[in-house]
Amino acid sequence: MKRGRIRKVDRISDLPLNIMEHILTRLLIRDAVRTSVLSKKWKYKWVSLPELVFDYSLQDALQNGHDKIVKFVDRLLLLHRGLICQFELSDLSSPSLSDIHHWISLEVMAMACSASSETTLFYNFI
Amino acid sequence: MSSTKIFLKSSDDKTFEIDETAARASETLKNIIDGGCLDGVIPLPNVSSNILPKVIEYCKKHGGDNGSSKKIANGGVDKDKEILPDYDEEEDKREKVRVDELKKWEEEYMDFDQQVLYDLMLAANYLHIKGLLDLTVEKAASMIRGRTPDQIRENFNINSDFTPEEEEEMILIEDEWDDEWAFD
Repeated sequence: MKRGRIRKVDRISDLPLNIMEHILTRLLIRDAVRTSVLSKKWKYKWVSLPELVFDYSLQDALQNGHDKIVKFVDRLLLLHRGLICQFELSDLSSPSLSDIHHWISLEVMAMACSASSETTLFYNFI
Repeated sequence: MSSTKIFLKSSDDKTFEIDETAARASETLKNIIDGGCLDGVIPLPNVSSNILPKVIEYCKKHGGDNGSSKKIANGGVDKDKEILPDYDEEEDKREKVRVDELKKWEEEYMDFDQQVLYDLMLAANYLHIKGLLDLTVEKAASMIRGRTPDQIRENFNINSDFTPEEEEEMILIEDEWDDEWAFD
């Protein structure tokens, strides 16, 4: 894929982790996750993001609604590593209580591997 | 307010002068000053003379007021309106003008090439200048937001270094996410 092209210096890929985290947390979750396909160095940059916000923009992107959103959150939580300080679901079309329980159990498994337990859950759907 | 001068020495041994009040925009410098460890010149081995004047320019503008960028982010002074009992409309107007002026200044300040962006980001991180770090990471984020992987690689000169097998796998992953996301 475009290997023959002469490239200038790539400095963003080697930025310190905390700066990279600042950059990625400013993106919508789907943009942050998509960076994993950029190059080897980017493959796992997003997986340790401490704030996961699933908002209306996700609902717009996942046009077929409920199942896709649930699948997306499932998949993302399975790939995620490290502490989640904030897990926010807003304006999404009615995930069921069992979905949420499932996510929390994924969360708890992940948290069992970490020392702290600062997970905050926001349910903001009606 | 004190107008004591502080001297900062860049990694390439050049000395720059800055007012103490401006230097306080940096948490790192503030701690050095407050800690009383100030011995003439503060060496900054991670900041070169190319970027230090740009950092000083930011500090001068913000003069130790780390909250200015936050105010903008919160939509100016409106948030405080209800809290203050003696809310002053004139003061509110003046504050709005000040915020608009600051936004304009930031726009002009941030007009530079990508290499400067990284240097400034690293300097802001090292010197703990939150407002400057926010500005620079936002600029980088804006070059990723809503772009395709190819556009992002192009923006930042990122080389896709996957082996042909991995590349195939990544394309599959990309397609799989794309199916879910229904990208254009």
